[in-house]
Amino acid sequence: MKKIFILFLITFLSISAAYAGTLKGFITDQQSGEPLVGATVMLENTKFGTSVGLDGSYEIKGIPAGKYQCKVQYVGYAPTVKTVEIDKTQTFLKLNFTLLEQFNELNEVTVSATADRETDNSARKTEQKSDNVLNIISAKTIQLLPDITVANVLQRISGVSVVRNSTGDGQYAVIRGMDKRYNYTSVNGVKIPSPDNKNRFVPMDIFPADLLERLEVVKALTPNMEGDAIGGAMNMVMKSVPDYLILSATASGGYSQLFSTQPFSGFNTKDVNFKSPSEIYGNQYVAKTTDFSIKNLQYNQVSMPVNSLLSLSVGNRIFNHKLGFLFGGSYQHTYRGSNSLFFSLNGQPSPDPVPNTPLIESVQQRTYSNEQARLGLNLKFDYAFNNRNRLSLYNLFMQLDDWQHRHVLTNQLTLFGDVGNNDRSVYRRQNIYNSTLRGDHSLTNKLQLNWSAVYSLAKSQTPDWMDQSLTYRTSQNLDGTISKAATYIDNVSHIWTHNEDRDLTGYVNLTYTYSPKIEFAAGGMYRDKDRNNFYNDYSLATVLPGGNRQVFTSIDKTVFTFRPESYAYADSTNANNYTAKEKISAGYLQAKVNLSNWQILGGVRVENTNQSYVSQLPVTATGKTGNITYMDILPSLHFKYRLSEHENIRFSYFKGISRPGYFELVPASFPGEYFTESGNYKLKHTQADNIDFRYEIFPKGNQQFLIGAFFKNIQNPIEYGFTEFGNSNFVYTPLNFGTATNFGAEMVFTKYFKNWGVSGNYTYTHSAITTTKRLYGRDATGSIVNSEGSQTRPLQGQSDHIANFSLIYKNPNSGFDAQLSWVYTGKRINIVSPFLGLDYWQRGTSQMDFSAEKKLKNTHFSVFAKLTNLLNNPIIVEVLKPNTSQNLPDQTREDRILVQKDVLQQSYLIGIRYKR
Amino acid sequence: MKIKSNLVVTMIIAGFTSMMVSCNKSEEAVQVSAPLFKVGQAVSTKTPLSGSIKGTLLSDSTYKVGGDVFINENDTLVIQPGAKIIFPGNAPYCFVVKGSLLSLGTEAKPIYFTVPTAVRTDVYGADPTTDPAYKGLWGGIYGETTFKNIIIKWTHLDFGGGKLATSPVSFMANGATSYVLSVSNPSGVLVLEDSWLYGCIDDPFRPFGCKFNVMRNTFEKGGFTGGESMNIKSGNVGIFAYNLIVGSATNGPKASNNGGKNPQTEVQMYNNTIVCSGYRRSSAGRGGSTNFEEGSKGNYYNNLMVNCKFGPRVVGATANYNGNALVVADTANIKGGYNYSYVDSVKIANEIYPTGFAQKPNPNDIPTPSSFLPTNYKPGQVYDGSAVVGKNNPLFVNFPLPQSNKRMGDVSFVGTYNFRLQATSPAIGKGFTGFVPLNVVPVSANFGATVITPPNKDIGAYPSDNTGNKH
Repeated sequence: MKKIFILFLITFLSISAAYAGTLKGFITDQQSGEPLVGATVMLENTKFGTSVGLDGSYEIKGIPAGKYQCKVQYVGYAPTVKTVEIDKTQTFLKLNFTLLEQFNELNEVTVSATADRETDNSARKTEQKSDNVLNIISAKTIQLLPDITVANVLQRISGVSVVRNSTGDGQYAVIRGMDKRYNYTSVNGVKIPSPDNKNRFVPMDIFPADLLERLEVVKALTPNMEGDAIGGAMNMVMKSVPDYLILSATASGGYSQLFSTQPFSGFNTKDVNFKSPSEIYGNQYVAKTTDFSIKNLQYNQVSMPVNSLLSLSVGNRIFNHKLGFLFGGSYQHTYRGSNSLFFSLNGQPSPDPVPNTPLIESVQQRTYSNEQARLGLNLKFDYAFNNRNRLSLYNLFMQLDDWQHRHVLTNQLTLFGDVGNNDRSVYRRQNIYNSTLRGDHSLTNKLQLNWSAVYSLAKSQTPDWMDQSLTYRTSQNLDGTISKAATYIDNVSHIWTHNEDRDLTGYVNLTYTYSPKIEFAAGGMYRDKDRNNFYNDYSLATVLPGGNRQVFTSIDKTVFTFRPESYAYADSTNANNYTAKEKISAGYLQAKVNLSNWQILGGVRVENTNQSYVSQLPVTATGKTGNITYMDILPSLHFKYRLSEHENIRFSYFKGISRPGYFELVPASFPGEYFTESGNYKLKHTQADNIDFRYEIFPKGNQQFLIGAFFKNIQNPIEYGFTEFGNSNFVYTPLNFGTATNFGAEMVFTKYFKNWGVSGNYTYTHSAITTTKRLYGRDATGSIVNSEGSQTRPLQGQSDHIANFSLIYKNPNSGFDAQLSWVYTGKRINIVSPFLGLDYWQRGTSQMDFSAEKKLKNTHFSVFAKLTNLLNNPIIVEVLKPNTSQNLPDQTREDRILVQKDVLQQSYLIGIRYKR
Repeated sequence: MKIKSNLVVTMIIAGFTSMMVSCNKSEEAVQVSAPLFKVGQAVSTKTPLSGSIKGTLLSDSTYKVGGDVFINENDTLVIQPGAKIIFPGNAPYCFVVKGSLLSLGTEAKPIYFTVPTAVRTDVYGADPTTDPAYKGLWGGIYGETTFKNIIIKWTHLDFGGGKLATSPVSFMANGATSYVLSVSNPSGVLVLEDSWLYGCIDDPFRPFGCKFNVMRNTFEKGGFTGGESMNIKSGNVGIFAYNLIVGSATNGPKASNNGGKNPQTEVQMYNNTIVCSGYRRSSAGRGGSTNFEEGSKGNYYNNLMVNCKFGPRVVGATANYNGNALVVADTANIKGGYNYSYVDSVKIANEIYPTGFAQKPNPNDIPTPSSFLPTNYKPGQVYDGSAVVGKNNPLFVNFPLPQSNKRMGDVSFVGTYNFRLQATSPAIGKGFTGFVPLNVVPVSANFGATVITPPNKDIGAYPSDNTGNKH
């Protein structure tokens, strides 16, 4: 109350004493000239004071005439006092301060954590000083963002858009139009394995955003970085060991608007068995129906379930400042959902009236209820033996539990036939564990050595995935009325899958400082990866003795059998079971030269890949096992020219690669209704030449303006297409399609006007790839014939235009920060169709979020709120072909066919933060 | 020109001479058997068949199967009359044909692919959930993408179509439910004639590409809770005629052009007798006699349907059956008529022309469409068929009609029934012979069809001139 009163008083005074003097100026670092945002400016022994704004300025109004001691204070800087006199003749007085950084007694121990690396200021500095092209988003920025997962934070970064899951949550990043396969993910610079069962890319929604110190997207690789990124590398720098005690915690709660109008329909997997009957009892085990639970299909309706999020981070440096530690923990328990209108296109188009005419075969209402529990733990120790040798141990544990219930109601397009209701329960647990032991040694004054020994494990388990469908028949009576017959239950399936990726990696890096201007580095890396994938499914029949169908009453009253009896055996030969190994050895040489305003960094990296797999193919087939080796020589060169203290021009070239997914090489075939899908051991890895050009200016601290362009020439991009074997036998398989190009331009800006700021970015991307696709039409004689045509299109996931814009208000005085954020993702191909011209395009969509935080004065507490998806814009996916089905719901366009429309609704979160 | 006239003269002289000779009764009339067709080495009966095999399985010998059998590309395996190939019954072993397989049984000496320990339970109204016919006790015969000929004559294929473990075939997934006979090479030749297919979990015959001639066979107990006697996908052209189908789970022949192969599926379905089919299908309305779907073309004439759940169907508009799309057929290129339906209930009488579909009644269909369809009837329209219930009994030699005391689906086997027509049958003389059969396979004793029988003036698989089904 008192504080509010003072606030009021200040405001009042500033208005009523308008004729009195105003003091204003800038507060900067004496050495770097950086503005010291948040520094306090006080007129001693008065009520007059303020905090420094985002551009480094301050302003104190309504000061009665007199002589004052003006004191400026900022954490880590020596307080500075100047005498100032306000007289009546002078309405405005300008007074600038430059503060000197105060070195503390920790100086004898070489700790890099002198500045707070979680700030925007630090992020901008790192961007400016980096050797290569990258973008950084700091913890401070993340804290104010509405996003709770790293995946959603990524979409705020220039050149990055996200691919969302069925409930609209970001999951994968597309960097500069390059799909997820062309990017990699690392934690503290160490690449981490993926829990995906077939691919390398890591689902980014596993990571809670609040464990991060900063998030970097590196767009040009240097020789000391792993070379398998063409779009870019996402590096999560986790909170690091502080120099002093830090303690912060947040707790928040909220809900999703969606569940105010419909219940959340979830299921409980408390007693779920993570192992299938065949895993428990052996492969020859004849399963009994009693081995299977039906609990996953018993749904509980909850209205307005509460989302809860907790995080804690504590760190300190103890034992004479030799041992530092940091523990970060985050737990998020959320309920999400979506309502999706889904037009199912037939797997093969119609040849009439024109070739490849899409056929809508059903209209589905899909309702998703997703419960997620996300746990992230981050534990770091750091021991400085002396100022030459330091050892750190880093541990990361991530767990994402996801319970998804999908309910599908299929509407009939006609008046007769079977109408289906389908419920699917999928519980998936994904884990990523990483442990890194790192040593930093100054061998001599000129020679630095660091090494890392890394153990990582990525795991995904989907125990007892269940599917149930109910069917009833509708028929038309003579009088035109519709009769509905009894509802029957179809066979129920249970699927167990799990996969594991064990990764052992060692890194060694040597840096030799030849002279202050010339530095050489060399290093190597060796990785041994072991993957296995387990798949087991059972189908329980519902046919009754006598061969009759079973009328459905409830799932617990349903009678199950194994009919035919052979179905009680485990499906252990399923082609989804495979193992893969990968050994990568790499070495590099790099040199960095500083010549007056030039910095040149260049070198070469050599990566040797040895991939192998063992599949479930019969011994009589070609390619039951495979071993593929290749070597890449990856040069790179980065120029930086310093135009001024705040300006750089960068030019860089690097060669990057992208390796095929583990399962893409396995020639296991999956026959489908319309085509057979198969892997392809002849698949080549992708190589790309990348050129970047960028101008950057960092006018004052947190402000920035970057503009750049890029060009990529991609050899052997991997896309799906048909190959023929035998006579007119085709498989749909990953293939290399010649050369693709991708170029674009990026622009990033941040500008502050006292307490207001705008920040944003815009990326234009244009990519082109030509692939062969199928054409289903008629030949000259009128017979239906499959033929091939080629289609040039953008790469999957590439939007021509992506943009971010934020309006920021930060008032260090009142401790109130707010941000309105807008993200635009231009139209892009979501799914590439095997058929010419039938790709699924996601319409350009924008999302608006609002977040705010208020620090409670003179306490360590603040309160915050995050409101997301304010506009509730649906996600719309279309096929760009003439539409002849406009009688159907939501088919409003003549020039395109709606295939999916997802409505996600808003979500709200409020919380409290403690920080000291 | 000269040579040709010489040839004619020689032939005339030769013919005249032979007439003279045959008239001379004192000469012996010698009739000796031709040597049995044989290629390569005889295969030993001592070791179970497994792995790569070529040569000949000898007449009247019994061969045990001990693993998947492969006939390599360019190799041929001949099976002589009376040979028995027996499967253990507990493993889904397959014959995988990359070259040619000729199973040349005769009426007197048929060939068996069977499981001797399995017992036929051909009892009216028996429980299909315990019938070994629906268990799939071995795998199937597969024509790989390179296969050249699969010729199957007078052969019993019993109790096949089980669940595969590791699939030996490139176009079948591991763990998939096998078909008894399946092929995937649009230029391969498949002949299935005078044979018996008894039991299967799914489709007894599922071609993914071949030229086929499927004639005069008997299909019993095809499909457990779904399955067609012949389920054709794209890349297939041929004839399905003079077959007797009893108790198919869904349809007899069904044609679709899905699967992405060339050429377009084209099939002639004529002179088949289809009895009590369409009742074991787990979802409601998937057909019960003949069916043209997604982009397929051809014709359907002279078929005799007795108490089938649905009459011949042509899909005319795309719809969905609980996750299974029903997609429009190549309706402009499908013709049909002269089909004969006998029904014992109103429910199936109302589906002689399945409601919601595009098949056009033909004035020569029996019962005559005008006798029960409303005037201004449009294809697919709901109508009242009660007028034709129990009418037009086709007068089989031995099959009780009307069939009223038990469920229609209880008849799934031939047993002692005889589906030949009595001399007074109204099906006689009502057939259509005005089209030319699709002669896509060679006519040959060993490498093709014995005879490609054209459509008959009588309806059904057993025309009165005995050119039809010989079982």
